[in-house]
Amino acid sequence: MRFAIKVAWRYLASNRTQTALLLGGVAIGVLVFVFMTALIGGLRVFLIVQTTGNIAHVTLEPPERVARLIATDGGYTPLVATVASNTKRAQIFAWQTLLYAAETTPGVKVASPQINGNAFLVKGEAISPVLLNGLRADRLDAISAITPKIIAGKAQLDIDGILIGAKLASNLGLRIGQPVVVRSDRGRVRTLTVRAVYRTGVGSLDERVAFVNIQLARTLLDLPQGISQIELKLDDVNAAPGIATALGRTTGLKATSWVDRNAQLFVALNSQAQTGSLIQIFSLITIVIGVSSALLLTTYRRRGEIAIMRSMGISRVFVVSVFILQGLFIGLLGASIGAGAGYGFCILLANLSRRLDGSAFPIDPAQGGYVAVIVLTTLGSVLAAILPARAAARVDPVEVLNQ
Amino acid sequence: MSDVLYSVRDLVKDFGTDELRTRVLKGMSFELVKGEFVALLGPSGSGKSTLLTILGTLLAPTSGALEMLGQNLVHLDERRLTEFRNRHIGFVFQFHHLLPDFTAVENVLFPAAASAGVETAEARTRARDLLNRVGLSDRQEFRTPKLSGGQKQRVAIARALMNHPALVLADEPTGNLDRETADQVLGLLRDMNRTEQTTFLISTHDPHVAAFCDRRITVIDGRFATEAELR
Ligand SMILES: Nc1ncnc2c1ncn2[C@@H]1O[C@H](COP(=O)(O)OP(=O)(O)OP(=O)(O)O)[C@@H](O)[C@H]1O
Ligand SMILES: [Mg+2]
Repeated sequence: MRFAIKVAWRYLASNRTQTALLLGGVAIGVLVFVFMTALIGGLRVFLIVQTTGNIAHVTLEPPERVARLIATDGGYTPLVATVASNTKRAQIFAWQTLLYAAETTPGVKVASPQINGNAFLVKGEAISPVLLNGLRADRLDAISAITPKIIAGKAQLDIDGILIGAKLASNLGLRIGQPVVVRSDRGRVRTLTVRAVYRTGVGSLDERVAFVNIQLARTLLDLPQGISQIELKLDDVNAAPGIATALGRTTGLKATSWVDRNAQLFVALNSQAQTGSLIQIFSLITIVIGVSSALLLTTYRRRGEIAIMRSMGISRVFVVSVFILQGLFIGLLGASIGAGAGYGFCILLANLSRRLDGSAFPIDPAQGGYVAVIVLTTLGSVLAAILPARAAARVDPVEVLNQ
Repeated sequence: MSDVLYSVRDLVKDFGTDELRTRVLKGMSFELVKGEFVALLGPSGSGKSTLLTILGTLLAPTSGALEMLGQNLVHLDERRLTEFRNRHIGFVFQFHHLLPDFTAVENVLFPAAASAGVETAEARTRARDLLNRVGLSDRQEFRTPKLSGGQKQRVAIARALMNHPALVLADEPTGNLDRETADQVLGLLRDMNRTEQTTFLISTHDPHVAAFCDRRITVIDGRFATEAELR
């Protein structure tokens, strides 16, 4: 084996131009692979961070009241049933216990209890419907960071203040410190003071949502005991489906993860990943075909030498291993060069992108799939060498030596 | 103990398929004795090279019996034939056939290293010793394309002897060399024949070479010529 390694290496070294071209070809294929992997991985992280940054990772809501059987006479005839009912308001009772349970669940970063409902904001003749979002004062930024988006006033959720979006403010002609009448869909009316105006860039948020203190929401929306929902932020967004399922089971609430609410994001990410896989597969196929055809050419060029070896009584196994080893060296070396160059290229683009605006190339150099590409390319290259190696082993010494 | 190294009985070799079948060797029987130095003569196309490749197990006969060192060679499988060839038979061709990417010494030790899988110190010593004996002590680390024709042929002789073969088959080893170099090469073969008790079968068109050998066998049209035919 050691001598076969020497022979294989000598063959590669003695034909520098061909070997250099071959290594270059493999390296470029690997570079494309690394680049695609890092780009798609980076894009995925980027999109998920973008998506999960300003939304709840898990939302706990009152359980849906579904019609179900309560008792049967042994399985066939229903005796008692509950019926889906809208006569009672959906709310979470005994929420302090549930909030505590949610907050202390491992992996949960913060929990925000909320009371939400519909209301109208009235300023003189102008009137605008809003979704009132009642938050705890200390949890204002827990789910979506409002404070950094404030363009006027102070982020302050007191008992008679309200935070409104820039579009809403301009629709109603409201300024900081001005009073505004709020009429909830429960018929309660209060006059509040505009404490801050924010601009998120999201149209619906800037025009149709207003933030108030949860205590204020409780009176306005006439919900003396319960709350509407508990929103959670997690340490790891990927743990959301698991934690949602677990919390749903332990609390009896309807628990949904951000993954359920963003199905279309995953459709997009998956189709992106599939496109990436396709490009990866094609770059591997190109490498395999390239290595195979180059080695096949080498086999043909070295037929005479193979014939000499066979006439010396050197086994087919030895001849095969010389060519397989050439494939192995080309794969390993080309892939290492390509992976190194790919890493450098990704770092370069990532830096460039950071200096621009961060989203030009959301490439993640750490996600180049380096080990995978080196292993796959080496394997592919070895496989690619099988055909030439077999051709080499089949060389008939007599036919060649007689020429 | 028998002194017979190689015995051949009714050797027949056909080339081509059914309709275009041509019989090149038409039933040959002979023996080679251990340590012999034999010339194989005959006109061009008479079947000398074909005979040598069959004796050297590179080509299977159509029919007939081949026995070397007590081993019946006709029914051995490819792997065993290869191994047998590696151990017991050396080839020298008219066109040296060296490996151009390797040095003289690497070419010589190749048959030993490739079958053992490693390049042993003994193999290297033996290869150097052989190169010294063929007068190439100062060319051992040269890549073979940098050697002259005669030097290449001497490397090829050293290589043929590397594994201490019982038989060396040489197909017109001097056919490509000038008189002086040819004599030198012939002298080397004879020297190896004496020191290593190697049997040599040398095909040639050169009467000078033929005269130099212990014994001459002549092939004419796929058969051995009788004494009467030769006269
Ligand atoms: N592979 C083959 N297929 C068909 N015919 C062949 C083949 N090899 C050799 N022959 C024929 O066999 C005959 C003997 O050829 P061979 O090479 O053994 O002759 P030779 O005695 O070595 O001649 P020379 O002295 O010119 O080298 C020739 O007629 C040749 O055409
Ligand atoms: Mg011939």
